[in-house]
Amino acid sequence: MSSTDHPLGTPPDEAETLLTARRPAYLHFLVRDPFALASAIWLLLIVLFATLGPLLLGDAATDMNLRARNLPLGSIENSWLGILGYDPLGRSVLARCIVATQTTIGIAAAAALAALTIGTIVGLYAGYTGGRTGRVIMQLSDIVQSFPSLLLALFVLYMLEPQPLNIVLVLAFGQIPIYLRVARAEVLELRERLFVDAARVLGAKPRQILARHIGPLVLPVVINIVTIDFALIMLSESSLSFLGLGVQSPSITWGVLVAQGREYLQSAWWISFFPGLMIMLTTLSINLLANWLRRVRDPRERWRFDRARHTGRRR
Amino acid sequence: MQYYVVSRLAQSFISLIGLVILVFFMIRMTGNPADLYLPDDVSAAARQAFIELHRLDDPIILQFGRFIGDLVHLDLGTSIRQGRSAAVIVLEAYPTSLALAAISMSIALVLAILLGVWAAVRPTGVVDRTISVLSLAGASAPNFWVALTLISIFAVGLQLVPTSGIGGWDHWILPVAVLVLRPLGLLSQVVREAVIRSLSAPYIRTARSKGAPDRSILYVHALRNASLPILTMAGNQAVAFINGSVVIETIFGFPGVGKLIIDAIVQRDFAVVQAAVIITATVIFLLNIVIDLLYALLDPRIRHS
Repeated sequence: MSSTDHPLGTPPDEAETLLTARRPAYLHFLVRDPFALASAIWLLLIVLFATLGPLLLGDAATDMNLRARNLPLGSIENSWLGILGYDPLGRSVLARCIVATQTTIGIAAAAALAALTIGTIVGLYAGYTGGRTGRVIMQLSDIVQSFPSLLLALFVLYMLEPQPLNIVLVLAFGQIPIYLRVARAEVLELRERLFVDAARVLGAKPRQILARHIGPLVLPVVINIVTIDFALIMLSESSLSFLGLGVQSPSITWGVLVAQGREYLQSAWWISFFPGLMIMLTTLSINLLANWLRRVRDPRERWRFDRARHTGRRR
Repeated sequence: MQYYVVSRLAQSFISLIGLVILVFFMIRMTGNPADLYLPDDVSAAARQAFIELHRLDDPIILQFGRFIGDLVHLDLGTSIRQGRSAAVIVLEAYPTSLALAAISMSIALVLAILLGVWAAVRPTGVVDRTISVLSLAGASAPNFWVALTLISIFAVGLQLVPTSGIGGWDHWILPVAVLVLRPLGLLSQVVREAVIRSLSAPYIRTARSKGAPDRSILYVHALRNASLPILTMAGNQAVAFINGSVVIETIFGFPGVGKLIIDAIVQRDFAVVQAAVIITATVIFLLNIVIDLLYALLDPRIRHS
């Protein structure tokens, strides 16, 4: 009797949980995972720093106070900004870390976006047309990928000026092959599908097929990659800045701040420690959150969260 | 098998040639080499003499021919700082870097296999979560910052090891420790994923039912099948090592190729930069061949195709 009521043979409440489980309740899962929650909160803070930091603390980051030279952690007699100590010119390390967020995130985001756009478009084209052009494009991307990106960036920035635009382009250039490869692989699979044939038969031009029919399906895949890639680009940028070929003063990024503190390692370790910690925590948060998102989205992994919700029930 | 190796060889060789061409034209695109080679306050006559000496007024195609001709004779130019062959200078710096890379990579690989398999035994257990977060942290930390932090703790604070320079074996501890971190973090994740995936394969069930001990199932049966993704990641990391060595050798004052490149860039010693780029590309080319051969060795599907 129950089988006629419920064709799937499952009781109504179970069927309901199955249906609701299909759309993950992100916030609910986020609160359950302490690492992911901490990462999300930290990244929110970073976004806040990047948008409001220079506005609120721009002056505090450049104000010199020679009486506060190299004061250690917890020097909060004058202001709470001294909690992470002062640099050799008496500037607050905390304020400088916060203000540097905007440039650091801005450069990495611009480079990631540029790589995503160029890589995806070229990858779509290479995958759809195939043939000799496609092969040449892949060969070129192989060359770029088989070469250490930092070395390439040093080589280029050595010849061009280390201006923000050049830095963004150089950082993006090394990452293009990743998107190109993924986009191409997706297109190779998608272009054999029926809906693409249908569009072709109806007279759509290749550009229309790519932009309207294939592109929207490739986009989520590359967006998945861009989160992790953003963290990678941020690391590269900080290495470049540390070596002196990143942004030039008076602009500051976290990498520049670490480099500035290097000379004072023996007397004032906090100057380079905290900017570096910002880099690590941000990269780590992005990776943790991306991992968490993958687990939540993947139905084969999601049961782990579900089991935590309905204790004792096994799937 | 032969076809596979030969075609991969040809592909990497084309890539190598492509890079050499890229280097040549990138130099020319950025201006007259006379501006790059000569100091800013050089007289016009000396500048003209330099241009004539190196025949920089020739058509670009002729210059390219000469560049390739020199390259075939293994002539990569002369360092203006040291007055010696740039190729020799670069090759002298290579052994240090290669030793650094080999030691770090071996340690990273062994530790990654142990940690990754340990984490894979019980996915989402306490051990697994701890190892996952720690390995992510290792892969996320900027290496120059780790280096500076370790120096201030172990060299400045505790005075256990020297801060920089080269000499006894204790000079190697900190650079190796820093260079191990990132490959270790990335590799242990790959090992974990690959072992988990192969543990659910039918042949593992067979091994288990015939009574093979747990340890041999993990380290022999599962790990062997997981070796391909591990090899891919290890290869990528070996290339990325050059990135790391630039930073780490600079911080620790190691006379390797990474420090050489940075010094050459700062001193605008162009021939050395160019030689280092081309020789590094060749090293990567050789490395790719070794990796491809290892693929063929590990995967019968490739060997017999």
